[in-house]
Amino acid sequence: MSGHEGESVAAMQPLIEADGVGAVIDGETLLAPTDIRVERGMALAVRGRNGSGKTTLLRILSGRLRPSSGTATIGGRTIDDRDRTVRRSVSALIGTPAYAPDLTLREHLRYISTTWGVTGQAADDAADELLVALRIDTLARRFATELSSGQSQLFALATALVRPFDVLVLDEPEQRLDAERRGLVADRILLAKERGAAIVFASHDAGLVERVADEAITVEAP
Amino acid sequence: MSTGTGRISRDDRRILRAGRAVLAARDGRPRVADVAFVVYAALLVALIVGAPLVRFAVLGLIEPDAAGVVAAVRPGAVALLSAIATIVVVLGGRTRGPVVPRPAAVQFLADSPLPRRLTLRRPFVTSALALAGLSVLVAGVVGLSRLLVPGERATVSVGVAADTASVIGMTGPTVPAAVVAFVIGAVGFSLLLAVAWLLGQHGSRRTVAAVVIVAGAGGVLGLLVPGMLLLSPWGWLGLLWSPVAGGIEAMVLGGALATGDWARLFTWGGGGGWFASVGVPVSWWPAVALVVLGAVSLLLVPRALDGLRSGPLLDQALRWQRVGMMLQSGDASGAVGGLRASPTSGRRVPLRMTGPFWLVVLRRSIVGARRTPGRVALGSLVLAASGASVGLSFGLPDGVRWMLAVPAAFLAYLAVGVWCDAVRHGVESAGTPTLYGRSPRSLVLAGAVAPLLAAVVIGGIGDLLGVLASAAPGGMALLQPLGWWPLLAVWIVVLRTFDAAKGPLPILLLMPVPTPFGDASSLNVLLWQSDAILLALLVGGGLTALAPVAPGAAVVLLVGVLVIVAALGFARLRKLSRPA
Repeated sequence: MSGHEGESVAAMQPLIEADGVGAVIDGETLLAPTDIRVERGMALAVRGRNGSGKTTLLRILSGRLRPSSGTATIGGRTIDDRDRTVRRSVSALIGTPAYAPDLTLREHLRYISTTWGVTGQAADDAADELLVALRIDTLARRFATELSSGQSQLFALATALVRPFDVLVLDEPEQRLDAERRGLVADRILLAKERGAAIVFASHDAGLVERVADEAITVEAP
Repeated sequence: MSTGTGRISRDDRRILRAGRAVLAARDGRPRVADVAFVVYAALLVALIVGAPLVRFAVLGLIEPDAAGVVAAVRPGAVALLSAIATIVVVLGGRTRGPVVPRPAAVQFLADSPLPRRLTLRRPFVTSALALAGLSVLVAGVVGLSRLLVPGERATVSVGVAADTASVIGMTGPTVPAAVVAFVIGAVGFSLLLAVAWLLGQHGSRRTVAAVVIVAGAGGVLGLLVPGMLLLSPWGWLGLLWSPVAGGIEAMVLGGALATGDWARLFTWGGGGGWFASVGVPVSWWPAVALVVLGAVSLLLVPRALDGLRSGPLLDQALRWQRVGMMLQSGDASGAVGGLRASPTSGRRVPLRMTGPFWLVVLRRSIVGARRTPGRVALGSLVLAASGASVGLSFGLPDGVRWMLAVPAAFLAYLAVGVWCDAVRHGVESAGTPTLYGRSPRSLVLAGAVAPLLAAVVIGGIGDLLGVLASAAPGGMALLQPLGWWPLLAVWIVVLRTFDAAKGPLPILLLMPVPTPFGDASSLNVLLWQSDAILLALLVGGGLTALAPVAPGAAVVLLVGVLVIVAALGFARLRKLSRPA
């Protein structure tokens, strides 16, 4: 069995760059050609109406969708999640993650860390720190199927944050959360920025964009 | 309007009719042409698929080897099997009871002030009729095969072991009256099953436990102490079976009447050869008793229907609607996933995550199993039973080995599924943004360790017991089934992985396939959905039937197919992992 996933791009130029990336599937345009550029320690907010292509752009940046036009790179490397180095660098929260239904929340976070080679006390500490920071530590022994929609969103965010990353891609991280919890999400994004990650997030929350984004682009419906 | 006492007034019926009319209008009333097409399609399916299947089953059962095995089934074994059926329906009631109306009917009718004994009667009657139909089909097919079995019908005097008394027995085909009595008894028993099923859906844990214990005791005692067959409905079915089997086995009451030796009936094991050698003509009272008891048990139904709670009713209705929709869209794995029990206990069981990754995932699977104990216990029992069936099948004649081998492979395939959560989780990780630091392939391989160990060890124990219980002599005959099972276990786990990695139904399969009988695209979907099950039946079951005859060829064939299917499974996984 192979070891955990490849080298980090942290040592490379920490930059997300997309030049004219667009997506057309079977004649349907999902995303009009778009350009973005995100430096290390910066957060870019992606705004736009429903159906404008925000999630499509994020899927391209996480390597889950091949662009029909243009190029998208991380540290000069073409984004493709078959590339282990890209997988190692990009953590993404787009939709519901693949949960293991038989693990409690705390075990789940520890399990994710273990797959990245972080084991023992370090994995325990990372899980506990995130559970406390997102105020879901009282739910540590619950199974993922036992959460409310807001709690599920916070836990999904925790799974994306517990693994190592250089690039963080988040699709509407504030959805289904009350104002106080949205503040917690903003805190975690700011912390990730401080730690040098490049962040791209789609959001309809002007307050969140105002607080954490260094730059914002608006994606127009195709 | 109902007074709340459970009595049904004329107004209640009028309101119910009006409510059903509203629901029917909401769904759009089917046109006469639609109904005619459904009737036409049902008739075609019955003629083209049903009738040949029944014919095939009857002809298969009158083959000399098969007929010998069927005739050797003891009344006690029938009692035990019917008791197991009772336990299964009672335990299954909470997952899928007999009363599962559409969600709209639950919200609109069951939640209305009308008594539930009225609003929920129709779905119960539908389920009870389905059970009765199935019972008639099974009893009828087996009974018909016993009527048509080759040989001369003859009455013979059978010595009663050391006793001086003799009774009249029969050899060769059975008499029509015996089959009729057996089928009538099966219908009566199906009514009891329907009520037990409803108790499983409605009853408290204590009620369910009581039914399970009573049925279990009735079945086991009927197997071990022949006289107990007289005292339980499971035993009565066994007694009705006895003359159907051809009179080779005993009709206990007749034996007792002939000898006057009632005490011996209650001897552990039935007094050895006494029980096994007595045959008597048909007796109707067990059939009458089953029908009367079944009819009396129906008196419990109105109260049980009134006692069904809205929440669980709606949960089951929504769950089964979802399952039905997934099956129609070709998502069989999703449909099965919808039925999978979620863990609710064992959250404090510690999970160590140190050591090699495969060991971490193995520990995770074991801890996960402790969190759904009922599901895993049932799966493990079925796995052990599958192993036992494979072991037993090696002692059967060549012509009938498939009768145990094929169902054993199928049940093993189903049972191993309860240990495959980590495999499915690994596959699911393939289609989403990277969360885990291991490739989906690595997660799947590590996840496959637990089902492999469970299949080899638990099924292996069953296999060993089956071999020891079979008539097969020792030496090589013992080694063959013990060596075959681990290979079969690997095959089943590979099949499970292959099935888990299936992904969504290819749109191409939904393209119309015009035939003289209509659009056959649903056959494509059916084949795609059931490819792993068909492989389990044909390759697993077929080669197990072949293994004692040509062990070398069976091993080479199984390994060859296993390698091909494993490669196809990983190709599926790679495809799922690929960006869109």
